[in-house]
Amino acid sequence: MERMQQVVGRARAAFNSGRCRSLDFRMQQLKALERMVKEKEREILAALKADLHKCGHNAYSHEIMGVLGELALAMDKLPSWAAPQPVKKNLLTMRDEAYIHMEPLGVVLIIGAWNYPFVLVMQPLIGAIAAGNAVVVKPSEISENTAQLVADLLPQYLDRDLYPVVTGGVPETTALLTQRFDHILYTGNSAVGKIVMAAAAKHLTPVTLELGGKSPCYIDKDCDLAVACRRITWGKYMNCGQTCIAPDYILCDPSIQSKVVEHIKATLQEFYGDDVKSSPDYERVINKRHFKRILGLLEGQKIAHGGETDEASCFIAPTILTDVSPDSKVMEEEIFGPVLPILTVKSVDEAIDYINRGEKPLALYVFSNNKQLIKRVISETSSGGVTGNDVIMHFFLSTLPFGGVGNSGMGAYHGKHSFETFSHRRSCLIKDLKMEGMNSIRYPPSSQKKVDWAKFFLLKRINKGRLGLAILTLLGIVAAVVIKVSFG
Amino acid sequence: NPYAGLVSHLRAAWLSGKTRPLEYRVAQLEALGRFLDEKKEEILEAMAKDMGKPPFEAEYTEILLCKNELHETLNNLSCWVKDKHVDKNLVTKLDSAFIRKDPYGVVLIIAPWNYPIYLLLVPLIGAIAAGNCVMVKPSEISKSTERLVADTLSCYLDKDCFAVVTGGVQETTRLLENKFDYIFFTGTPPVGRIVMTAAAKHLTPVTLELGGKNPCYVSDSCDVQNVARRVAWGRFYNAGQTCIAPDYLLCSLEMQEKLMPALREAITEFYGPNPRECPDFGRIVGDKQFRRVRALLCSGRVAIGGQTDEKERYIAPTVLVDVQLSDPVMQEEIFGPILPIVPVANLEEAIDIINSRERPLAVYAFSSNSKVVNEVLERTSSGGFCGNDTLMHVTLSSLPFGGIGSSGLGMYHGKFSFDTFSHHRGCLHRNMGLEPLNAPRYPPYSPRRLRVVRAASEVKRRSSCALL
Repeated sequence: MERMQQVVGRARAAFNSGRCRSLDFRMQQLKALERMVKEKEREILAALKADLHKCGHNAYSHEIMGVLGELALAMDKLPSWAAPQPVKKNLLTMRDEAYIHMEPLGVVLIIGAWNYPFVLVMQPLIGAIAAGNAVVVKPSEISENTAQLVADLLPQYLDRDLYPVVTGGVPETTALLTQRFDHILYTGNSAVGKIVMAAAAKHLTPVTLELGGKSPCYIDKDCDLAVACRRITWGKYMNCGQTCIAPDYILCDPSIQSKVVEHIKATLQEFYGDDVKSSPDYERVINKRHFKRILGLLEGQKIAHGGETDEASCFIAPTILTDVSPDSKVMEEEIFGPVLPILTVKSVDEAIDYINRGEKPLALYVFSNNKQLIKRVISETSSGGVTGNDVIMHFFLSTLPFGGVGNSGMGAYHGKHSFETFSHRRSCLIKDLKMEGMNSIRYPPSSQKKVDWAKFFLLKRINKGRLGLAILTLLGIVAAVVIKVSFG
Repeated sequence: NPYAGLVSHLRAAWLSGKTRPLEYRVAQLEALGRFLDEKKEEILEAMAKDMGKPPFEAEYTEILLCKNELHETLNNLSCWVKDKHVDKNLVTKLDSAFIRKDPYGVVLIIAPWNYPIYLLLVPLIGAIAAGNCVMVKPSEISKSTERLVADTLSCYLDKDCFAVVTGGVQETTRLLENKFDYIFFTGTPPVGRIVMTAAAKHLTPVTLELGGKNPCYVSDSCDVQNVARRVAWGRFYNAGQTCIAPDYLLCSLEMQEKLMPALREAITEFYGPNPRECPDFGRIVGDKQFRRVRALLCSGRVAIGGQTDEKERYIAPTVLVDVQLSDPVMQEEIFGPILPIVPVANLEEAIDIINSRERPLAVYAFSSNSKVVNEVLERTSSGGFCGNDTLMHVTLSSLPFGGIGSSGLGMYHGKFSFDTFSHHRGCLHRNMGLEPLNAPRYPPYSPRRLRVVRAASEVKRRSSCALL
């Protein structure tokens, strides 16, 4: 507890010193981070391999590439993101300066997750640094190699007081959450999300919660099944199914269920060969506890493909379940493993009903050649994000806000959305100390004339056209003079 | 759970999709406009009964500012609801990428008593505009307005999708046990904590509009009479019961002396020689609040005003001088017609004092030297900032209104209200064809594939000349 107090206290003192406010400083830190990612690529890939059996290709394209992209974007756009934003004025404020001033929040806490342990700590960190905050980083202890690497590397490249790394498990995180932060970004599950928000409530700390859920995947009869299944297979089994936006389960018409299974089987063969276990491109379940949990979901299910396991190496083969009942255990919780249940539905209406009965998921997927159908599914459901005719991909477009809704989370980040999440938008109105005449209409003693003038100024809109603006300016000046004469 | 039935009734209406079409939302908003027009006299009367609110203030804030928000929303809603298309990267160049504004579902708005129509209607406008079903809980402290809202407002809106609940602390606690899809609360920080803790149980996002002590710095170089007028107006509006009122003044001893006659003149100009008889000066809303504010008078020295009348809940426009930071009046948000002046040696000391306290909803700075105004802005933190005036920044709906730290989280007004009550859903609609382009992402992997992936995704830094 005391250690946490010291770490956070030092970060706050460092923030209050003001040194992380200058854009120069922030750029320096971002550049240093970029150097770190490039110079230590091998170490980062090794840590990810040790934690998740992740191959170099996946580790690079899922974790490192995204981070380098965010860094490049932040460094490129920082001056424009941080600049004051002038706003549209009304008649009353025509002569004033009105703008939104982007300011840092203060000391931010980032709690990472174990499934993409590097990117889920780095991406928020980039946004928080860019916005001018001090940041306390708490990587997940479950992905212990990456956690240790982050704890070793960050102090070598970044300002040590401003961006400390705290390692540890539940007790350390609980102690950390008693401290006061100015924003907390948590990635993980909904149960812990509630604990984080409750702790934040004590200090009125705003939170961004990136949680999870069961992301549904609807396959319409009218679609290129081979392509759809290839894309779904890729998204489902990457990182051994341990992806918050993996397609959790499939909804499709009974008539295409067996074809779907065939296509997925064929794709799995193409991806991982005959013996999945010996493919260097297939990951492992993170630990024994999750291994046992996922195994438990297979009980009583019709296994159409896969099902092989090896506890010693936490290996679970890519598995497909068919004719799954909505009441079964595998449909109760987020699977977070390489098990893909298929539920049959007779129509898209039934699919939409089923989706809406559950908690709002982090992602929603729909495959169809019929654009109207896709539009309909999007409009009649709710989810954090959507990809139509593919899976996962909306995550990689940083102009789209990435976040959940309802049980799958609140708030969003990526790209400019990160910068805004970690900034305070402070409204600024700077008036002239002179020109008091205009103010007279608002001062007591009141009169019907003043009410009428107030209505005139408040309810008039400034037109877009220059001529409109000119006329209104003239009107404003005339009005000011008249008011000064009548009330001044 | 006494409210479970009502909440599930709203939820059923929400699931039916009734509140989503643009025409429906526009119709409800126009009904709100009719409420403001047709019930204007009733509204002014209720305010007068609740806290002696002067008719001009009631008309200006509760009617005119609300109509402003309504017009802004109605003029722009068809634009706001449209999908916002975003820039794409190389991989998604041929896809459709946009942000969809989805309503949250069933929204709860808890309103305070000081501007009981304005602070209820403005969030309500945003929630309706965003397509939600709304439950509204007006404050039980402003009793007449509560009755008006419960009896009359609900008649203007679709009863399937909008509900008004009344009650005090106990009822609100029971209400908060239910699951809402968004909670919008205006009130004090301690209750804000309770609301957020209750929301955490259901992972309900919140906007909290709270309060604090809004400092007002007056530099030595300024037009004293104008400063006095603007500060007095902001302080004594609604008898000081304004979350963004200038709470205390920081200035040099010399300026304190200069301000005295100027403030006296402004107060007399506004309220006459006896403010108690002036119809343009309000009253404190309740006995408990009256006693709390009156107790703060024993701080510093009463230079102007100081008279009180418990029966009327009248506290005269009061200025206290030579106030110390340890005085009672500096320990809590005043929320009454008392303006303490804390003398400081210089701008440095003023900024130190401001920064040593919780971040307020607003910071004010007066100076004819724009550098001084700028310095206060740059070196402090607050929800909003107004230079050389008070209160006015909230009348411009293109500026977001909200707090920071213990003065709140989230923001609203104008388009920010609509955005607050919408879930911004990132949508990517891809092409089913062109599958070969996806090949580099699929296993089995090879060094060559990785090279292709790297080359396709690398974001090259544009060369920049100077380090800013």
